[in-house]
Amino acid sequence: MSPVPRPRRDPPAAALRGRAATAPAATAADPRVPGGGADPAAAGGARAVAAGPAAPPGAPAPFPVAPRIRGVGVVTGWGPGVEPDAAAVPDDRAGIVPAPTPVLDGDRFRRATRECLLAVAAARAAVADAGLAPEAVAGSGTGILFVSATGYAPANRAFLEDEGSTTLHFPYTSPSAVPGEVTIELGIRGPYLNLMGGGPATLHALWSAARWLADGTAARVLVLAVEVVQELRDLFARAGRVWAGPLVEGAACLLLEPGRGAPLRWRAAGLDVDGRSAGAVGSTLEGVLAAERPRLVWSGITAPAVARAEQAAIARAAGPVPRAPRTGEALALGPLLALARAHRLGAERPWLLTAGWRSDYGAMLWPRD
Amino acid sequence: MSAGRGAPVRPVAVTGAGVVTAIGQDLDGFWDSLVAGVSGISEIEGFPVADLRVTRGGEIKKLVRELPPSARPGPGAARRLPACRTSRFLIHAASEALERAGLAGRLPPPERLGVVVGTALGGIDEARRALAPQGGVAALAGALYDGPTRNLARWLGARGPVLTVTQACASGATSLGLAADLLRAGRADVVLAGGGDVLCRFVQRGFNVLRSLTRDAVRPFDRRRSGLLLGEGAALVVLERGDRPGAGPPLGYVLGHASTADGAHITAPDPEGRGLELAVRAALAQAGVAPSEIDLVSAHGTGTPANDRVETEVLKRVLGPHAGRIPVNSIKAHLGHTMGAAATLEAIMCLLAGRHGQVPPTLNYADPDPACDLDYVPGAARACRPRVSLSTSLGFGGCNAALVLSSAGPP
Repeated sequence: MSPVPRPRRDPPAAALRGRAATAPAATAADPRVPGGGADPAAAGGARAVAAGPAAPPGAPAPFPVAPRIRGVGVVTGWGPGVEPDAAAVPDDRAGIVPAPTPVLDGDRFRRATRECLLAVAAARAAVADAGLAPEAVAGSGTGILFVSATGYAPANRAFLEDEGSTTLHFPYTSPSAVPGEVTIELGIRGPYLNLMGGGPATLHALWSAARWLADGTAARVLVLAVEVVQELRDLFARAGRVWAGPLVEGAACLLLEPGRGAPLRWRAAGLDVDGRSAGAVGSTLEGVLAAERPRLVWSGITAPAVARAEQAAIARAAGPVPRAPRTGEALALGPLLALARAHRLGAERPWLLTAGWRSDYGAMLWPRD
Repeated sequence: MSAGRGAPVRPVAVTGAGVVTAIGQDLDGFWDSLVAGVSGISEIEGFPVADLRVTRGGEIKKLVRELPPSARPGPGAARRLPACRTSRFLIHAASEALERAGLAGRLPPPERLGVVVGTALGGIDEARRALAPQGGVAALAGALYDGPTRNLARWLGARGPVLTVTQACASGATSLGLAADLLRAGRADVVLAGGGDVLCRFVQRGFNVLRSLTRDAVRPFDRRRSGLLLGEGAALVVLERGDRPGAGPPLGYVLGHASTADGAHITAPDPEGRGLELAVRAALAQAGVAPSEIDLVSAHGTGTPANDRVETEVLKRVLGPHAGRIPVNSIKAHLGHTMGAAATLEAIMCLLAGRHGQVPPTLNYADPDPACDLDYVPGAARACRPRVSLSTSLGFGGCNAALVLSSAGPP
């Protein structure tokens, strides 16, 4: 490299073509333009949404097509399967529906945390449910998204409280150890995203998965959520005002592939800290519901005021809808458990999922095929 | 986040940036220290370290800069600064970034303002207080991984997408890629994106136990390299689609990003760097940039034997002979490894290098390693104006991330 300043040259053509201030008029043939491009695989069914005049610079991209659920894996305290066991849900707001700790073969798992074991068990189950051999998901074609609100906290607490922790323990305090064990187990080297939060973060993960599948970033995606709360029972009891339980722990994994139907629709809103949340919930739901009459398969809202606002908004937009089954607060697991259940039951679409976490609210419409 | 074997995507403008580090608590101080080769490594004073094997790090002794009154957000925002240090670092970085973007006091509607923060430790700073028998609910909520992100969003009054990325030490790159996706999808008009983490006993003890820390200086790519030292800080950029009326010239653009899994080991990089290679190739594809167009590589460059060798090999495989003709630097000897903030700080460094026409040196590099045979910018800053830069990051759990950035050139 010469120490002499290089003469300035034009930025890459790609940058100029896409830069709003200097970009030439976008055309429908430009693959950068949402809805444009000649490659159907690149734009997927979402092109139907954006058909028409070329999108102006900065125009929103269309919603990605809803993925196809090919396999589900669920490990919870409800017992085998995806059906919630209402009897297992304690009435105590500080109660917990504990998940069994999977026993996995392999010396590699000797030091792995419970959250890692749950994750690997759910991912293995999803791959098996899809009728695939583990080798089929190895490599760069499979993406993975991991979401959790608590899936690191027991390890963090143990390391904080035990100054004598061993060498192998510290790496497991990182949330990325959880999907890390799954990628090692299955040999996954594809696109990767970890989000920390509750149900709204899971809805975001599903949206990201749909985008990866729509734009060809991945051929299949594992969306994984893990929650572990037993080791934090005393803390959750103390924080009952923040987390209205009972809490459900476990792991859920969906194996998604490209879909061919209508777009997945999602809206999120921040809730007012002073409780004026009904407006945000109503407008979010109205944006998602439109003319659809969805089946509510998951209501992730436990705060009574927000739940009432949600019910009222749904009733206005779509008429009375059956309540989702009583499950307890499943945090980031919730939307995946609901999709797993609806998929297994063959529930009629569209499905509506809502989720709340701290000051966030989200709603997702999983459309008809 | 989108990685990308698909078509190239629309660039996203970086209209402002703000930092808090051990070598400078604003952009100018940070840049001046980088170029001058200032090291922020010192004896740690903020928590007990006497029993630890390594007692130094890139610690911020005191947050010296007062928030300008104009940086106070609107009436819907939280009034009080949180106690959590990570949150305070983020808020300081955000106030500078908004000021530089011309958005201080002129934020978009709350529902159009997003926040994406990458972190390796989240609210760990609050965890000890939360675990105390009388620990309050606020400390408990703040101790969660998304606690600092929530605090920043609350301080801003943001009600758009608020997301916390945790991909260990690659978090600060993925947060930028994810924020760019939110803008391209029209889900926000302005996104504050970046990363932050604090140096605390939890992480210092953890890396001590792993014996990843060096008692020598941090020497990225040097034959004598023997490990890393930790640091702390925050870095945030203001990302926009670039179509805001009245906006000044941007600092640069995010052209492409990709994050991938290694599928190899919980702590060590894949010895062959296959995941990192995929991330770099995908980020270049998303950017629509050829390897020969890269002018600067900001390497993860931790100064550990495995990381630096693997990164070198991957750069040579992806960039070919061009890898030997461009500067490849690491700023971790200046700052320590700032974990969640690291990749965003490095991205900002790339954009500033383009603006100022200088590339900061890799400190403490003097003894070449035959396994690391690129141009690592030894000694002093290099006069060079990179237009297109590549930044690479790796993290625990087998996370890899790559960013491709374009500098907008001198103002």
